Amino acid sequence: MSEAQWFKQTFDAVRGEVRKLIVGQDAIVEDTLVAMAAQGHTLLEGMPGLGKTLLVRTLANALSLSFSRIQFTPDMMPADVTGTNILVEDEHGHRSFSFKRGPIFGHVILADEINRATPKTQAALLEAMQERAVTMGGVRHELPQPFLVMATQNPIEQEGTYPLPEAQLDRFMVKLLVESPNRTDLAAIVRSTGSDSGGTPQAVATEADLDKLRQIARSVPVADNVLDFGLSLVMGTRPSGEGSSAIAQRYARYGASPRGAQSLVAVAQAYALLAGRFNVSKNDLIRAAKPTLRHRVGLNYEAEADGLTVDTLLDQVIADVQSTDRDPIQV
Amino acid sequence: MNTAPFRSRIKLVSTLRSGIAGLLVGGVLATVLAGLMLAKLIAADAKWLVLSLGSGLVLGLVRGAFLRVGESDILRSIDRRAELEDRLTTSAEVSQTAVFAQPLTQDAQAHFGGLKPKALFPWRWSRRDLLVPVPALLAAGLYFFASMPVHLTAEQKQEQVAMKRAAVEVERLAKPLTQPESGSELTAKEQQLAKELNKLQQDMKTASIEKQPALQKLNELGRDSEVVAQDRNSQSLKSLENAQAALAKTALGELSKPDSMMSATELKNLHARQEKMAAERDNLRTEEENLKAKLSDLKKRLENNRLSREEREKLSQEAEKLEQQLNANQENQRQLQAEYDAQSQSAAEMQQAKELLEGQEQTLRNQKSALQKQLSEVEQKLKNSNLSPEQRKALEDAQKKLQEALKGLEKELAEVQKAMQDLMDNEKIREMMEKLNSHPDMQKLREMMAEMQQNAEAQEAGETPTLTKEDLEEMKKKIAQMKEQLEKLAKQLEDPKALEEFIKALEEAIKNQELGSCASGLCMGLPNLLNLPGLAGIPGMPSGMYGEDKMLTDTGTVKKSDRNKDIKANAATTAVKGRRSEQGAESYIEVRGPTSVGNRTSVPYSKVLPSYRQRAEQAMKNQKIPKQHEKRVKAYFDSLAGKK
Repeated sequence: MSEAQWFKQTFDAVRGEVRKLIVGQDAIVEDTLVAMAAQGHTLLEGMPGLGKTLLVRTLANALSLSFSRIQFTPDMMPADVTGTNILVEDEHGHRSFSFKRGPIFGHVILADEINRATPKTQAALLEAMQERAVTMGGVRHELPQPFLVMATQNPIEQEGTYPLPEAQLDRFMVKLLVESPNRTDLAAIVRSTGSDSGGTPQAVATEADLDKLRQIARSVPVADNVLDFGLSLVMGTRPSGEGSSAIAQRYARYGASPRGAQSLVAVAQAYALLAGRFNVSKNDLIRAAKPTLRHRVGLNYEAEADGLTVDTLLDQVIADVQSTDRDPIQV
Repeated sequence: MNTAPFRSRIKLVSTLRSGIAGLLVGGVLATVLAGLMLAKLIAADAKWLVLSLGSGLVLGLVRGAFLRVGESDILRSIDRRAELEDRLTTSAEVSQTAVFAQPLTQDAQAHFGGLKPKALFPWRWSRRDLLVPVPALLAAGLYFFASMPVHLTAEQKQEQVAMKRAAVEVERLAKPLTQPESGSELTAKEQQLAKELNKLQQDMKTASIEKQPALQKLNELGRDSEVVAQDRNSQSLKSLENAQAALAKTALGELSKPDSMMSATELKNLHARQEKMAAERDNLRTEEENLKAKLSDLKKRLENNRLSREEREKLSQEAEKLEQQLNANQENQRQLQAEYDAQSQSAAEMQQAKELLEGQEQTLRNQKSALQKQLSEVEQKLKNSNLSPEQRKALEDAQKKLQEALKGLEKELAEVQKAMQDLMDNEKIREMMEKLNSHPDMQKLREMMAEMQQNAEAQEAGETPTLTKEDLEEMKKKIAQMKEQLEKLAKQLEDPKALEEFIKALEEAIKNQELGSCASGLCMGLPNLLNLPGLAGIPGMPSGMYGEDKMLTDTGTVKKSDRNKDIKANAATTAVKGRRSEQGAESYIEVRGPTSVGNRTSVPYSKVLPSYRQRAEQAMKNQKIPKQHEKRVKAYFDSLAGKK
């Protein structure tokens, strides 16, 4: 079996297990899995009760990964996330500080309602996300690998929330918008409530498999002109400078970072394998654009006044880049 | 992946596409040209429009054919058109050591295999392609509209027609100057003149030049052409003198040879010699009969067996001798007969040549007679006491010129007679003249000359126009040309091909009524017709289209009795009126003078024009100008003022 086939098979197996419990939300499931395969952190935004926590937990189970959930609240302290040094007295009466690991020490961390925590607490989490390690009392504590944070945030409740700073948002590979289920899916959800029809998800992959998925995905080649197309998408989100699009110049406060370009290509590589191809196409990049760039673009006041969303801006940027990407042979 | 078929297809389609784009550009250019032509800013004909379209097409095709198409561009284009999700592009770029190199290549080839170049790069008519005929049709429309007289006033139309006619005339006249004389090339001056004449002719043909500038230019070119023609004539004259010298030398040489000399006295003695030769021949025949009889007798005697051996040998020797004499006799007879035949033929030919030259002499005598008649008429008019001093002076001048012409003609006649005598004395020239006269084209020539003579006689029978100085000069020139041609004839007739060409050219020249125009190397047509309006006075010559500054505008006939009735002017008579009959009709030629008349005075005509115009308007207002001529007066002053 080729590596591409193994990738797809493993991916499908994990997705199959998740679908046992999650009704609908196929795109979210796939994008979450893709982000996991690319070993990137995921920010899920959606209304409460849409199955975000269940999704993450199920994924962890299917991949045989340890799972931790942190419910963020305004009074939560960084130590509540990372852990703390506590004074321990041994049997001889000697006292010493011992590091007590926080909930962050796990493979899959569900940071629920992350925007409810104070910036200080958020910073502790986001530092761990970037460094994949926690430093406490001058001692560095490595986090287990793979380390994947899946944060959720509620878009409606603005009061008492602390929006994530741009630099911290950039650390999430993708931001997925969890939509409410349609009538059919809702009916299935209601029918399955209280019954055991879905069954319990089984572990179909291991930590090593997840690492292999990442390695395979990173091997998918990208042609120069395809990469150029992706860079045009990223640069098109910038309000100024080379390649900035007209709409970004008007409505963007800041655009996607180089990390955004990395994320864009990484996600597109996984999409290519899932589509049964061995190369990244421009369509893969277009598909990956919104999940990977929407949280990396900040809108200005004018955009808010005009009711413009980031997705609308990205749609226009994609359209602009596509229009400039013409057939090299005009006959 | 073999992209060659796709490359070929792309080349083909791009070539066609570029060709159409070039055609579009050419069409736009042609439209601009046609627009400029319509605005009379440039003068061009249809070939420039066609050239614009053609060059646009060719340039487009060349550009398309030589357009470089990169391999990666082809792959990218195929990826897009066949929706292959960038498989081909990535496959071409990926390193063979990459993880997915092999499956990617296989995948790309699998998708590439079924692709058809024609399906991916089809020929489709775009909106731009459909626009191609629009500028071409627009250009053609503008061109034809510019050529059509619908947007012109009646006067402009008339003027355009006249200009086109004049252009034809200019073309005909310019032709001799654009062609070098045989054995030489056009000089820089001639080339320049020919170029300017051609341009003027084109401008006049397309009516892209106003009448007045055209006439001014024509006058300038006429003067230049006169200079060129004079140069050519002097050159030709020099050549002719050389040729004549050479001919005289040759004739002298021929005459000095006893064999070829055939004097008139010898001709008279020719028959006597022939009779003598006939008698000699008869004697030889009698002698032959005698010899034959003797020989027969000897043979009989030899058959006698009684003869001794010595006698037999003697008789045999005698018989042999007789046979030799007989043979010699027969040979002499043959030679004599041949000589007799040759002399008979020469005598007949000589007689014919003599008759021919006598006919030519008669023609010259007729011309002399016509001149004498004209002279006597002029003298008759001079006797009229009612002539004004100016008219008298003009007639006296004419008389003087006629007398000079007559003298010149007599001189020419004497020269021709001398030439006839030389011709009679020179066997070689005689033979040539005979060839010329027996040529069928020469018969035609004679008929034309006879027709010209009839015209002259008819003119003399009617109202004989007063000959002007120019007319006389022209007649003199014609006579001189005839002389030159006769002199040249001897040289040219040696070559049968040259003879034929000469006769044809002469015939053509007579047809065109400009003797000596080109073929003989004497390009006189242009200066004659440009500067000599009095050519109409030459028998058989029509009125010239152009004078130095005149343009023929109308001709016709009016009744004499009608003329005075229209004149209501009370102006004092400033000239003595001639007497004339009030019956019948008289022909008239109306000429219109251009503004260039002003170059004869130091005062610009524009300064005096208003007062003259005012006077003319006043005259019209007071009905001093006949009604039917008012329009002409107005047109004249309009043309002076620069209006069309």
